[in-house]
Amino acid sequence: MTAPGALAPQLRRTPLRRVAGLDRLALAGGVLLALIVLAALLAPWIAPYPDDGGSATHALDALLPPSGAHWFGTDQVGRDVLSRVLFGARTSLFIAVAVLAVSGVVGVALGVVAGYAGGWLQDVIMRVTDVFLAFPALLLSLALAVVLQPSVTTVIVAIAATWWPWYARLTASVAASVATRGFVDSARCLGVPAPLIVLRHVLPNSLTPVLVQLSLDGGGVILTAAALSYLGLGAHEPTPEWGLMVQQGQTLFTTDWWAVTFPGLAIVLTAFAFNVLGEGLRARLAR
Amino acid sequence: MSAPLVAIRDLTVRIGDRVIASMPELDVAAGECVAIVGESGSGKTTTLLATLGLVHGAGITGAITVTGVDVTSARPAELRGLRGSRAALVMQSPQAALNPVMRLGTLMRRALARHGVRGAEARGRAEEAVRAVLLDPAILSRYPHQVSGGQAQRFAIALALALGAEILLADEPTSALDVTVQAEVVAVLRRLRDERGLAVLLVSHDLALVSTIADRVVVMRDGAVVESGPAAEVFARPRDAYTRELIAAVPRLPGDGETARDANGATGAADTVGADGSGDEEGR
Amino acid sequence: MSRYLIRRLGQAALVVAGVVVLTFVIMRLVPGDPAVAYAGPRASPAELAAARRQFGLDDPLPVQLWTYVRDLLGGDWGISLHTRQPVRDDLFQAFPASLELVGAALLLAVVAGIPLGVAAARYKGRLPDLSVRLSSMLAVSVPVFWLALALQTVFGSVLRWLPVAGEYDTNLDTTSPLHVYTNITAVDALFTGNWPILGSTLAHLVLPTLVIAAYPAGVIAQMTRAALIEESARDHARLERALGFGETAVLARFALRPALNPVLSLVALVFAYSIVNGFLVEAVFNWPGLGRYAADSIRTLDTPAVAGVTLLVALLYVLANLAVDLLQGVIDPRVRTR
Repeated sequence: MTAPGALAPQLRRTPLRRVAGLDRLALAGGVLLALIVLAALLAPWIAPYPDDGGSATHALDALLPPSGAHWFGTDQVGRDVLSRVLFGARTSLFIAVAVLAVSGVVGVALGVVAGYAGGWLQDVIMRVTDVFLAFPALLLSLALAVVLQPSVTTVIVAIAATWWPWYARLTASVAASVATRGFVDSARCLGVPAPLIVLRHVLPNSLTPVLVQLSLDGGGVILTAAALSYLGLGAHEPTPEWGLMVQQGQTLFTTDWWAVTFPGLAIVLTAFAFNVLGEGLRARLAR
Repeated sequence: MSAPLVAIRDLTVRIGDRVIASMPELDVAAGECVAIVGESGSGKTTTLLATLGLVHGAGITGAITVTGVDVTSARPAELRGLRGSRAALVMQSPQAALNPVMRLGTLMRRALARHGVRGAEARGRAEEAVRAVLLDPAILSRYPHQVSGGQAQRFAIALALALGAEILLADEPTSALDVTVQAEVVAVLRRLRDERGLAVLLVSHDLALVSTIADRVVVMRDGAVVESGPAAEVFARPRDAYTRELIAAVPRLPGDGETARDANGATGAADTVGADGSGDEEGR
Repeated sequence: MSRYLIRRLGQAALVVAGVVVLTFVIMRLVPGDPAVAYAGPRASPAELAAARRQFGLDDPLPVQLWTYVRDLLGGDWGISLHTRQPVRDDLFQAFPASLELVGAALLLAVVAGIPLGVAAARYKGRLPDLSVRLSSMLAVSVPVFWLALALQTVFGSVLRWLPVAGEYDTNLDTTSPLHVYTNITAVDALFTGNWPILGSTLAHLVLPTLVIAAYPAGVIAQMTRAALIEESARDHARLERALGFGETAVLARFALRPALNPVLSLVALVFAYSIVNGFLVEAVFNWPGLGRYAADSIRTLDTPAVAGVTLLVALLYVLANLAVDLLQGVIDPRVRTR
C-alpha cells in the first residue's frame, strides 16, 4: 500500500507546466547544442574565411588581435581564429558522435545480452567491463593513443574503447529488470526464440536510460578528445581542432590571448550544452 | 472541560483545484482517542499532517488549533517549537521513520536538545519514556535495523513522551506490524491514554484496531467526512452506506460479533438499492 | 561481514589480474620493435639480439605474459627507455608529488562541494540552487588544460600573485635544504619544520589545486544535492520535521549522513580520474609528478614507462574503490551487518 500522505505535487502538474518549469534548463542546453551543430554544419558558408579552416597561411596577418575583419583575431600563421573555431566544431562533434555511436552500440549489445542471459555469461561480461572501468578514460586513451598513430581516428578508437563499459553496465542492469517483467515471460512461454525476445522486447525497453547517459556523456567525450589532441596524440595540423589550437597557442597566452581563449571557450560551451541537456533529461527521466 | 488539544474548523486542503481533504469540525480533548477511518486516498493522512503544518505545496483554508496555537497562521519558528513537544507524530512504517544511520538514543538526545532539554535531565527523561513504553533503555544504543518493528513503533511513542507531547498523531501505527505486535502497541497506547491522559488522534483503515481504542470515530471518503460520532454508536448503528461497507470488510469485530453481522446484511441491502452514500434507507 | 569482505577482495583481485593482462596486451600492440627502441637505431644485430633476449621478446606470448606477471610481483616493473632507470623507482619518485596535488584538490573539492550541495538542496528550485547547479555544470565542462593555462596566465604571468611552475622555489634548497622522508614535499616540510619550503610549496599548490578541484567539486556538489533531496523525501525526514527540526537541520544533521554513501563512492571514482586529469595540469605547471613523467614517456614512446603509469593508476582506482566499500561499513551501520 502506498502511503496516502505521500503527496507528489509534481505528478499532478500539467505537462505544459513541466516543460515550462524544471526543464527550462534542459531546453536551454538543447537550443545551445542545436546552434553549435548548426554552426558546424554551416561552417563552410558562415565562416568569414573558409579557406582558413584548412592549411591556408597568411604570414603577413599572423597574430592580429580581434578586429572587425577578424572577430577572434588570427593565429600564428595568420589564419582567422573564428573560422577555425567554427570548423573545429565539425571535428569535435564528429568525434563525439562517432565515439558515442561505437561505444553505445557495443555497450548496449553486450549489456542487453548479459542482462537477459544472466548466469555465467553475465559474470564474464561484467568482469571484463570491471577491468576496463578500472582505467580512467583518459588514461587508457593515452596508452592506446601512444600505441596507435596520432589521428582523429585514433582518438575515436581510444575513447570508444574506454567508454563502452559504462553502457554495458547500465544496459545490463536495466535489461535484467526488464527481463523479469510479464511481457517477456509470456513471450518466452509462447516459444519466441531468445534473440527475437531480446531484439523486440528487452532492447527497446532498456534504451531510455542509455540514451540519456549518452547525451550526458557528450561533454566528457569532447573534453577527453580535446585533451588527447592537446597532448599531440589526436588531430594534427592542419586539422582545425580546439584542443590542438590551444596547444599551438599556449606559449602565446600572455601576449596573444585570443589564439587560446576562443578555442577553449568553444570547448567549454559545447561540453556545457551537452551537460545541461543531459542533466535535464535525466531529471525528467527520474520523475 | 478545558479547551480541546486539537481543534479543526472548516479545513480544506487543495492541490490545484482538487480538494484532497476537507474536515468541517474535529475536536480532540485531553485523554481522548479520536480515530479518522477510511481507505487510502480518503484524505485522512493529509488531515493529520496538516495538523502539524507538514503539508507542503498545497492550499490550506480553515483553522487548525493545536494546544491553543493556530497552525495555519503560526510563524515557522513557533510551529517548529510546537512539533514534537506538544503534538507528536507516529508514522506507519516504524523502521523507515527512523534515520537508518543514527542510534535511537542519538535521535532522542537531539530531539530533546532541540526543545531545550539537555544533559542529565535529557538522559533521565529518555530512560523514563523508554520504560513507559515497556522497552529496555539498552535499546537507545541500537540502530533502527537492529530493533523489531514493534520496538521501533514503541520507541516513536517514547520520543513523544520524552518531549512531553500532549497529543499523539498516529498515522496507521499498527498496519505495518504483525498481529501480536499490534496488540502490544495498542496496549501501550491505551495505557498511556488512561494513566497519563495522553490524547491520540489516530488515522487508520483498520476498524478492528479502531474499535478497541477509539472514543470517537470520523469516517472519511474521497477527502470528505461521511459520518462521525461516538465509536460505539458508529459501529453499532452506522448511518452511512460507506461506513457499513467498511465495517462489513472487517472479518470480525472483537467482542461485537452482532454488529458485524448486522452490518453485513445492511450492506447487502444498500448494494441492491444502490449505495449513494445517503444512508437514509437505514430502517432502525 | 567477513564473507562480504572475502567476496569483495576476490572481486578486486580478479579485476587487478584483468588490468595486468590488458596492460600487457596494450604494450604488445606497439608498432615497431621495443628492442630497437631500447638499443637504438644504430645497434648491431648482436646488440639487438641481446636486447631481445633481455626482454624475452623471442618467447611465445603466454610465456612473455607469465614473465611479465612474475617480474611485476617481484617488484620489477621494467626499465624506462627514456630515463634508463627502473620504472618502479621513477614511479616512487613521481607519485608522491601527484598524490600531494590530487590530495589537496580532492580535499578542497569535498570541503567546497558538500556544503554547496547542501545549500542547493536546502533552497531547491531557488536562486542558490540554480547557481550551484549551473556553476557545477560549468565546472565539469571546462577542459583542465585550458583552465590551467588561463589561471596560470592571469594569476601568474599577468597579476604575478602566485608562482606559475614547479613544486617549490628550488633556490630554497641551498638556504634551507629539505630532508626527504615521504617524498611529499608539503608533508616533509611540515614535519621537519622547514617553513620556507612549506610556504613556497603551498603557494605553488594553489593554482594547480584549484584547477584539478573544479571537476570533482562540481560532481560532488551535484551528487550531494541529488542524494540529499532523495533522502529528505524519505519517511525519517518527515519524522524529524515532526520532531521540530527545521529544514536546514533535517538536511545537514540528519539526511546528510545517509546521503554521504553515494558521495563517497563518487570520491573514489574521481580520485583516479583526477590523477589523470592532473597529468595535464602537471604538464602546464611543470609539477614534478606522474603527469610530467607520463608526458615525457608518451613523447619518447617509452612503453615500459607508459605501462607502469597505466598499471599504477588502474591499481589505485581498484584500491580506492575497495577502500570506499569498506569505509561505507563505517558510515552506514546497515552495511556492517550485511
